[in-house]
Amino acid sequence: MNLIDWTILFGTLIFIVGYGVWKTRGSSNIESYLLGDKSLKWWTIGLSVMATQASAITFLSTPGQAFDDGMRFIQIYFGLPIAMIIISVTFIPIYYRLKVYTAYEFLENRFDLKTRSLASLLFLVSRGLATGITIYAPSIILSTILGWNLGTTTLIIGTLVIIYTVSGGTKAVSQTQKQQMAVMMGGMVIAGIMVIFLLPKDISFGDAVNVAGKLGKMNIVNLEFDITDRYNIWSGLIGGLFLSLSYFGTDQSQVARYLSGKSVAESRLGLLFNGLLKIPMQFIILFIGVMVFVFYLFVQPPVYFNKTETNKLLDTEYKSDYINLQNTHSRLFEIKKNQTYSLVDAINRNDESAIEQLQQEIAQTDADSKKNKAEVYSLIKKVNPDAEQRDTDYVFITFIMDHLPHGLIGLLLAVIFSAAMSSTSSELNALASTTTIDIYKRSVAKNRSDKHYLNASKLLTLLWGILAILFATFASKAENLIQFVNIVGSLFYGTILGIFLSAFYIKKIEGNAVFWAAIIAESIVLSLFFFTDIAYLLYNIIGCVLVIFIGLMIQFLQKERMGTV
Amino acid sequence: MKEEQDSTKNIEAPPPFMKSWKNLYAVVLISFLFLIILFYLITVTLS
Repeated sequence: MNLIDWTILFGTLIFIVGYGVWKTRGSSNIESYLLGDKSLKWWTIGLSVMATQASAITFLSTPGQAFDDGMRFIQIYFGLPIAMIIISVTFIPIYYRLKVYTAYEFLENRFDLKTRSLASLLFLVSRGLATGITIYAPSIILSTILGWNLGTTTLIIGTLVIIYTVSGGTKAVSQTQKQQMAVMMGGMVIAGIMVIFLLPKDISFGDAVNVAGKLGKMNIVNLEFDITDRYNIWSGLIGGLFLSLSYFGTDQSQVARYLSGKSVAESRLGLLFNGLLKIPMQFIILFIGVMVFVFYLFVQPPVYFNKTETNKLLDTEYKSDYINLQNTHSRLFEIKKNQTYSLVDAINRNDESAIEQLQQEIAQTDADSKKNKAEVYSLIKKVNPDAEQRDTDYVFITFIMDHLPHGLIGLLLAVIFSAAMSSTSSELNALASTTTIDIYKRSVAKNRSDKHYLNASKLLTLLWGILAILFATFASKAENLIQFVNIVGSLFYGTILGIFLSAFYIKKIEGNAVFWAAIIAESIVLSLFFFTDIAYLLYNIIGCVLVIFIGLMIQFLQKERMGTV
Repeated sequence: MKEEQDSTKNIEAPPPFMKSWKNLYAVVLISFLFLIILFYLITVTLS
């Protein structure tokens, strides 16, 4: 990092925070603060919806996921376009007709207060945890790069977001997200061009894609149905549909984005914009990860991507062991590099038997490298028992720091910070509005002035910001950040979606039945999580189906009992 | 009463382009199907 990088990074961040505060100064009532005066156009809504979902984790962890496991992660988004259509047809008109501030207000209208409060609480727990992770993700980068204390870094990032979110509410969130999306997409496209440009001169783009394919990284679609496989087309279409329906239809951090639309048409167009662009955007991010994988076939990667941990070894009694392992790593890298060049040659000659032979040889070298890396990790673990085994979240940032020119380093860091700020601000805004409208205004302090609730919303935004910073400390135990966020979401989303689907489509189910069904369903989902190995996307379906099924059963039994009495 | 009528009109308003919401939904679905077919072909061709 040099002066140019710092100027670009802090210039971008200060501009966005300043713009957010200035542009939305003087929110004088609760509707303006929580719904942005219902004035947004569809492109602002669309960008805001995309920016809310695209957290720093998306830009840090997703390329690492592709580096490690290939493109197949994209299948998790296959349910999204269908969900956008279902929400546009069903959810949006109902929310507009009832003029709600939050999604959960509708549940009291349809069921009762306790069901509304339960859904709000499930949302607050899951989103509160996830917000901590969205702040933690960029914090680990700065801590790694600058050697700062993790707590200090978390505090700085959290504070920046709190400033404009408390000040301007929903409008500040949506307005700043336009700038943040421009920085994010511009930065990622430049990163993608750079990684291809940095490949060795004798390796063309076509060679890079072919090598990635032969080494199993272009595994975009898998048609096989396997209940324990996290990513295949079926888990993506079915589980992804339920996850997307729940996230975009019932999670206040997203519902607030389109509720601030000028009209139903603007809100619908904003969501359909997301339905069209989300998968291509994720494809680009994952593809960058695959290209980084190819790049590191020709340029030696570190033996372990979290260099802070390996640097610690140099000051310990394990230094010579580590150096020996590093030499083995260099030797294995040279073998693999030569095998890869031979693979490129075999592909260009279309020599199938040579390709197959080289694939096996590279797999063997890979296995040896993994064994060597495991030994490095066992040394790291002796020095730092809390060190994570997986280092994939550090892959992309290591590539940026080690191989991109100055100026671009600052820009790419600004991408990661912008992403962290955009999603965190939406989440804080949603947590505050749900706590204010669904808990505080409804059950704690009724019939107070508009000004009172406005101040309460601002104070709660601040409090949730502080809590999120505290939750961030737990995130360090997660193996892979993006998976952890989706796992936390999947544990609660299914139940919440089940409540909403019962409300929208099953007229027979009433408040009591759905309330108890939701509590039983959530207990079963949590038990399955702790005691089985079911793919996490399926929890969305299980929770949702259980709520509807148990709800119908309770309703039937209640009716029977009343009939008997 | 008037407010209710405005609200219904707002909900039923057509999109500014593609004439109807059904056409817009079809565009989203067709482009999604196109992407899946494209991704499948890439997977099969390169693996």
